[in-house]
Amino acid sequence: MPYRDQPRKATKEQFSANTTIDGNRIDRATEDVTDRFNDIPLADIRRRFVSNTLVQGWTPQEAVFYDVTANDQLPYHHFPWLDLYNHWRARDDSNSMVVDTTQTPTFQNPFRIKGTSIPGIDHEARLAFDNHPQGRQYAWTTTLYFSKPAVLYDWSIMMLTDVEHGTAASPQNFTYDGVTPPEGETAGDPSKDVVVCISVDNPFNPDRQVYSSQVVARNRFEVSRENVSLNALPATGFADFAPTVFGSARFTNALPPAGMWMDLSMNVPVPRNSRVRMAIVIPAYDGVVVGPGSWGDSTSAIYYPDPWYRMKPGSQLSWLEEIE
Amino acid sequence: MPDHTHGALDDIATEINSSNVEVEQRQDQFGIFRVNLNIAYIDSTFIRTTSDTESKFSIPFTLPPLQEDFSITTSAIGTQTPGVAPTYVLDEVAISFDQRCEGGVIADFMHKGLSVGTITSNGVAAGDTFTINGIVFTAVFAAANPALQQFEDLAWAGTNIAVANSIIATINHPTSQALIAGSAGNNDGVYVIADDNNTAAVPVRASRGGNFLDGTLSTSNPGTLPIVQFAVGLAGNQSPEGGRLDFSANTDAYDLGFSLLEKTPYFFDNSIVRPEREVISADLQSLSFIGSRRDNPYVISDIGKVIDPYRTYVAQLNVHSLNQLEAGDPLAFWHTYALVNVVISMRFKAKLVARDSGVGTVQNIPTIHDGTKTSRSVSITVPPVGTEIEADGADGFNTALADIDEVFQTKMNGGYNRDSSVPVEEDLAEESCYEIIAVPIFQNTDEAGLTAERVLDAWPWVGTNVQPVDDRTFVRITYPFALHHVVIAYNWQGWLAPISTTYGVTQAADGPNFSAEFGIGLGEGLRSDNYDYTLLANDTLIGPRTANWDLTLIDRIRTSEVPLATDGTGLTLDWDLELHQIRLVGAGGTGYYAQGQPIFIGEANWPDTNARANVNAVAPPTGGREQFIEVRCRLEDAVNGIDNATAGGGQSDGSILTGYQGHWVFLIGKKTCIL
Repeated sequence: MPYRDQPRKATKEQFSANTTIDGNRIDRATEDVTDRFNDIPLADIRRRFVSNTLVQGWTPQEAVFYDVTANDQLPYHHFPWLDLYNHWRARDDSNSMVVDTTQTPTFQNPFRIKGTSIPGIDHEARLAFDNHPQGRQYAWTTTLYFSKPAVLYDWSIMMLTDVEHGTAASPQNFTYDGVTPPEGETAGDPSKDVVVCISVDNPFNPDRQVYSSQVVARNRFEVSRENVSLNALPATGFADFAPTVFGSARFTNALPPAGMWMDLSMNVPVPRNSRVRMAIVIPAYDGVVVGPGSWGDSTSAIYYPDPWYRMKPGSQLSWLEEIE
Repeated sequence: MPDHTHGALDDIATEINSSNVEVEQRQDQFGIFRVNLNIAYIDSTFIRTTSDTESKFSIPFTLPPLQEDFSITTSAIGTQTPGVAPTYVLDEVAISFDQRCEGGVIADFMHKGLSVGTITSNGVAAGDTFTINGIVFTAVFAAANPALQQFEDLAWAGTNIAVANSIIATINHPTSQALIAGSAGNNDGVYVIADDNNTAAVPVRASRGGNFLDGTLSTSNPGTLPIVQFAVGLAGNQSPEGGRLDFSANTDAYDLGFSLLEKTPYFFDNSIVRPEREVISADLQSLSFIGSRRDNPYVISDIGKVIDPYRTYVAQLNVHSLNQLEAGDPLAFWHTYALVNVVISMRFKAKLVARDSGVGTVQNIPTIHDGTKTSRSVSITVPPVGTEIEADGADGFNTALADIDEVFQTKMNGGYNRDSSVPVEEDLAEESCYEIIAVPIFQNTDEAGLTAERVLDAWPWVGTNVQPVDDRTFVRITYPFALHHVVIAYNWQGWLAPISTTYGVTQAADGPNFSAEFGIGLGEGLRSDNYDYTLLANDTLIGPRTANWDLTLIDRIRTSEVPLATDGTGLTLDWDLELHQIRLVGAGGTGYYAQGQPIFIGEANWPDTNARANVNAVAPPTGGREQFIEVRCRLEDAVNGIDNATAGGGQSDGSILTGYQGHWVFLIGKKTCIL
């Protein structure tokens, strides 16, 4: 309890029986109260935060596989998912014709997000058959700046699924590979390979991630338990609204959302002039040592890791900012 | 003199007892709202030409007055006159993008093409063919030197090559001598690379050890040394370099420009399509983003510019340096880059306003309180005239002081709880703030935009060309919010279509039956027993550039020199972007076009705040149990087909359905102070 020299907020004047109560003191007291009432400070207001929100998300490209024989070039890109591990540089001129496994020791932040290690992925291993790492992870990273103090209070992360992103033979149901799961995991078990985290950069060295402070982190959780609903939402018999999604001969009813929808309730204060990074990290298993599980299609003749097309990602961060 | 001692205190109590402590009496009178725009990526394909005019990625938005402040004179669209409404203040802009926490630039998927093949000339005979990624290369030797074992003229017969001069060839020689064209006595050979579909020679770069020889070369003094490697990059193919960091000398790749532009909407003046004023602008130097210390996010603070609620604003990012292409540069496709996961966050201040209340004026509002306030009861007993002034007692001065001071001690209250309930007692007259939530839709397709040529291949859930193409985005309800307006930004911005190569991107969709339907609904179903929706707003645009498309048009905005939406009457009024109102259901509300009254949105507790007022005159199916807002967009041509004409559809060849990085839906309304 902070020290105060008198019990009142509005005025220091106090009056009681058998003490003086002259006009000057009355005027002073009245003036103090009136002035405060006409210029109410923030400290006298109970609710003084409003919420702001950032909505992100898209529907992924149709998942087709690169087929060298047919020269089929789809899909075209995997933005905004970027490799988690900073290791290979882009070749930048015609002289750089070597296979891209040369380690370049000039990266400032090789492992740029803390707390993202998962079974089955070893970024620094080099597999004998193609000299590539044992799997990769891809991060969708968003950076915000808060010039004034704020409070992060809600983060909804969605990885919605339906039959289009995955196949009947290889659905996206967030399970480990049925043949070669990561070491220590059981084939076909619910996977624990998505990482979500928020970090605040160190104000004195904001570009060195080793000094950042991780304020929110979830790792090694069963993704399938963060589901939209334990009961599959009905495909019929509910009140829909126009446009009734997917109402065509191909899908006679709207597809209810399924998959992962995680709500994180937080109460994370962020100091002024803070750089805040949100990251969602997904795996791309190598496909040989560790099977792709539901993050890739091992039934395809040409395995191509495509975790970024196998769900509909979405994110919504809400934070509080003080009135001013 | 009771007025002297108790008058002011009694007046204060009267205000408190009517929940009428006004915002002007407060030191902090402004709430904060943000326009937060997230773009999955902007890459070099957005730059349609080498000119700066086609490199300005733009997102329009407007901040219309809340319904109670909205006033316009009624006259023909294009000549309306706005009334007076509260303004807002732009305080800060922050721009960020993902650099993988490094001081490099991110290569895009055009970077360096795809095909890399190795051909050696030893033992090659005329007519020998080599296949690189499905492209067949044929060795052809110049008749003058049939005995020389080298590639003297390499031609190819590729079926997937759209543009001959997009092929880049690099030849490496293992010798220590630089390649010099046309020099007598030089032992190195120079080669002509030609496409047998196009006899014109193409640029070629010969290089070794950092020495480069550029230009269009012809056979001269062919040497005897073999080619060691021969690489071909084809524009438009996915590059394995995409997403990687480039630390090369192209330090200006992230030279950007940001502008916030202002214009008078078409609704008020139909002769204006170009932004008229620049509110703020900034040159973002690439040096700010490379190196060990980076200004990412890039922040422009303490702006203090007034924003007019009856104007259109355009957030514009000039990405002219993402494509380092120079005319004739054979290495162009080594130097193409992307901004990944861009966030433009614009922070505004708006004066606090009173919240919406009343069953007859706010749809879906909890009927247990209707948004009305319950006041405190501060009782000040004013002593009769002539009474002795006392400190204590029922009419004592100190007693009155203590009663008023109690209000300050317990803090003045107002606003909503997260479950849509209200405080037991409220003192504040104004406790709400303007709000806008930007929702992306149809973003991040494989080409960033959708063309009629490729929509059936590129978009999931699509069957035949007469079936709809749908997208949806979910918005979690985290705090009570009253929806006043829905505004959509329809995007016709073109791009250099890397996959839609047959017809490219030449115009906006033009099928008379092409429609875009937008719907916003409340939903329940997250980890719950029930699954239902309540419609909040819905409108359909039919036939671009016809009256049925413009039924709720607010604005047309031109941001490029080659816009794709044309009115057919002249070039000066063509445009790249549109703003439309999507009308709230119901009636009795205000806006650019007649619509329903504001709609309350908020989670409920049971059994208090779940009981809700009607929406569009009927009980809402969600019944107060809403958990999320769903935004949907349907593109369709059920009569002629959504694909292009040559494929049998109803859109001209080269039509785009959604521009680069899709459309935006803005949910505009009022939020209250919480916590």
